[in-house]
Parts: sequence; structure tokens; C-alpha cells
Amino acid sequence: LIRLKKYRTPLVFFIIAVLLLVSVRITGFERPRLSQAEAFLRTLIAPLQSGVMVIGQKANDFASQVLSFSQMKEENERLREEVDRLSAENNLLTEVMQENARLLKLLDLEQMIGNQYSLTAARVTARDLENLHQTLTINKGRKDGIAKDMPVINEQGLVGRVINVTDSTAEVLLIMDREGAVGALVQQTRVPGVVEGLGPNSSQLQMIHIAVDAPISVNQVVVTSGYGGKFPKGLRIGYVTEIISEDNGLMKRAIIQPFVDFKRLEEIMVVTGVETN
Amino acid sequence: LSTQGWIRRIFLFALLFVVSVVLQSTLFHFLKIGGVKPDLLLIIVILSAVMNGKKTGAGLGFAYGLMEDLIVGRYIGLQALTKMSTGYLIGLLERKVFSDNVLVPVVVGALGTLIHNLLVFTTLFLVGNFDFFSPEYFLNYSLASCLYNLCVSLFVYGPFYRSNTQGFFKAS
Repeated sequence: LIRLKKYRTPLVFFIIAVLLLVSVRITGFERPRLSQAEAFLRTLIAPLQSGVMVIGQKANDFASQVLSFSQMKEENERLREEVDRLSAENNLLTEVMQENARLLKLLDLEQMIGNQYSLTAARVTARDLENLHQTLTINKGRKDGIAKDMPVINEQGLVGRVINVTDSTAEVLLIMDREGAVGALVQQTRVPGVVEGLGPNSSQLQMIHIAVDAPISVNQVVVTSGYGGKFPKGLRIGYVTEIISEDNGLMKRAIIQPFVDFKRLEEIMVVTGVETN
Repeated sequence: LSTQGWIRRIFLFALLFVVSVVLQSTLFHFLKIGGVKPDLLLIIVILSAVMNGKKTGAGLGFAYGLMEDLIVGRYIGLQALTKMSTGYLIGLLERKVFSDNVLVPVVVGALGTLIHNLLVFTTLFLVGNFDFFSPEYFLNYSLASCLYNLCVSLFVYGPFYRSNTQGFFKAS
């Protein structure tokens, strides 16, 4: 018994460590739903995060405004010239638009709206807590019809997908995350591949598993392929900026510049359903 | 420590937890350097450990880690295990350093972060997640996070030390 007492602390540590390791293994990444305790904690801090996040966004906007003053002068000059050019162009386009509107009326209306998504708008209330994952929290949850695995977009393109939901919040895994890979294809040539994040230090994506002779070139647009069923087909992801051959000579990968500005996400849309005819 | 003292400490540590979590998941997003932001919870655990010893370090590390895990909702136990162990190991230094030396937060901040990173990567490896297992990634990540945590630890050490010796967190 005396010897037992000497080993008590290491023994307790060992038992706790084993229990925690088992828990880490079981809860590794995705689960069907959050436990009560987790949902409670999230609901508790969500309003605080929401308030502080607004302050952060405002301060960030202000800071970048101050820092970019000299650039702004230069840009102003350039923009003035562009305004002149665009006004002329705009005039022309108005003519074309009116013509287009007339032509569109001739098309079947059903065809025009048949292919759209039902969307729910939400505000970003927090970003990831630690450095290993890239996620964000939004202010809509289960009671707004949000469910796990729903795709998230904004007007620029694909943002990610919902991975956890509470009653009033949801967590979105960005496609920038290493675990947020998306089935994709090149819009023009239909070359398929997988798009994934380049790691936490990069703001770009990469498209991997492309055959070495596949027709793909810089500036081509990459969209979701719909393979795997998590994302509907045809959501815009980004464009190709660089193509790199793999060492094995069989594959190549493409560096993708995402359309979405992931540093400044404030409002996003959750795709709650795809309307099919 | 009296019952009242305990209640006061627990309340304050809980308050610090909420403030840290909110800051870390919101404002610090805009202060990322090299893809890394400071880990306030870890810094609090490390500083408490070096001032109050291994028991406080391990206990606080476990409590903070577990709460953080529950909020993050993935790999539950990862931060509990690694922060507890880091707190314990840093706590072993308690009697070996003079707490009022300015080098303490610098060395302990960097050392604690490095230990914590090693434990996180090892734990993830042990449970079969090999995504993060690249020496290059580990070095980059560790360099950035150690430097960042070291700086933050330098800033918060003064107030933390004073409150520990004469303010709210005073042991007696």
C-alpha cells in the first residue's frame, strides 16, 4: 500500500492521458452532431463573439484605409480614366441590354429559374479559435433551416460547407482548410480533379490528381464537379494561376486563386436546397 | 487558501477564459502573422504554472484545455491532454527561477509553446492523423507560434505577476 501511494500521481496521469487519447481518437474531425455540453458553450459565447467581431471588422477596415492612403491617390487617378472609358462603354451596353431583355422574354421563363438554388443569408460572427483549422461561425442555425453539409457561397464563389449546427449558430469549414477538399473540374475543358487548401500560411488553393496530359491552362476557371454529392455542380471556386508537374511524371497540379476573399468574409449565403425541375 | 479565496480564483480564471476565447476567435483573426495567432489560454496556463507550480499548472491546463476542446468540438481531449502536460512540465521550473526577472516570460513563453506544439503534433500522430506530420510544417508553425506567444507573454507577464503577488490572484 505504501508503494502504491508513491505511484499514485503517475498512475492518475496515465489513466487521464489514456482516457483523453481515446476521446481524441473518437471525436477526430466529423461527427453527426454536437453533444449538449458543446452546444451549450457555443450558444453561451456566440453573442459575445458577434459583438467583438463587429468591432474587429470596423477597426480592420479603418486601419487598412489609413495604410492605403498613398495608394488610394494613385488609384483615384487611374479610376478616373477608367470611369471615362467605362461611361462610353456603358452607353453601348445599355443598348445591348435592352436588346437582350427583349430577346430573353422570348425564352421559356421556366428554363430561366429552373436551375436556381434556395439560399439563406447569414452574418459571420466569429472565426476559427485555433490555428490548425480554418472555419467560421455564422448567426443562423438549425431553427433557420441550416443543416450539416450544406454548401456555403457568397457572390464571389464557393466558401465552404456547414460542419456543425446548433439551434442558432452554425460552423462553416472553409475550402481553404486541408480537410475541406472539394471535387472540382475546369469549366472550359471539363478536366476533373480535387481542390484543397495549400496549408494555413497560404491564401491559395491547389487542384490535385490531374493527369499530366490533361488540357488545362492558366486563367481557366474551376467550378465544383458535383462528384461526392456534398456540393451541387457548377459553383465557382477560382481560376488557375500556375501549373506544376509532379515528380512522378504522371500527374500535375494547378495552383488556384479563389474568387472568394477569405480574409474579409462578412456576409455569406447558405445553399439550403437545389431546386430541380 | 480559504474557501472564499478559492471561489474568487475560480471565478477570475473562468472570466479570463471567456475573454480569451472571445478575443482569440474574433479580434485575433485580424492579427495573424505567418498564418498563426497567439494562444492566450496556453500563455495563461504557462505563466500560472511558473508562478504557482506544477499542480496549478496541470489543473488549470486540464480545465482550460477541456473547455477549449468542447468549444472547438474536434479532437476532444487534445488540448486538455497537451495543456495539462505543458502546465505540469513548466510548473517544475517554479522554484528554479526568480519570478521577477524579465527573462522569465520570454524563456518560459517560448519553451512552453514549443513543448505544447510537440505534444499536439505527437498526439495527433498517435491517434492516426498524419495530415500535420511534416517536419517542415512543424518547424514553420513552431517558429511563428513560439515568437508570437513569447511577445504576448512578455506583455501580460507584468500585470499577471503583480496580481499574483499582491492582487486578485494572491495565494494567501
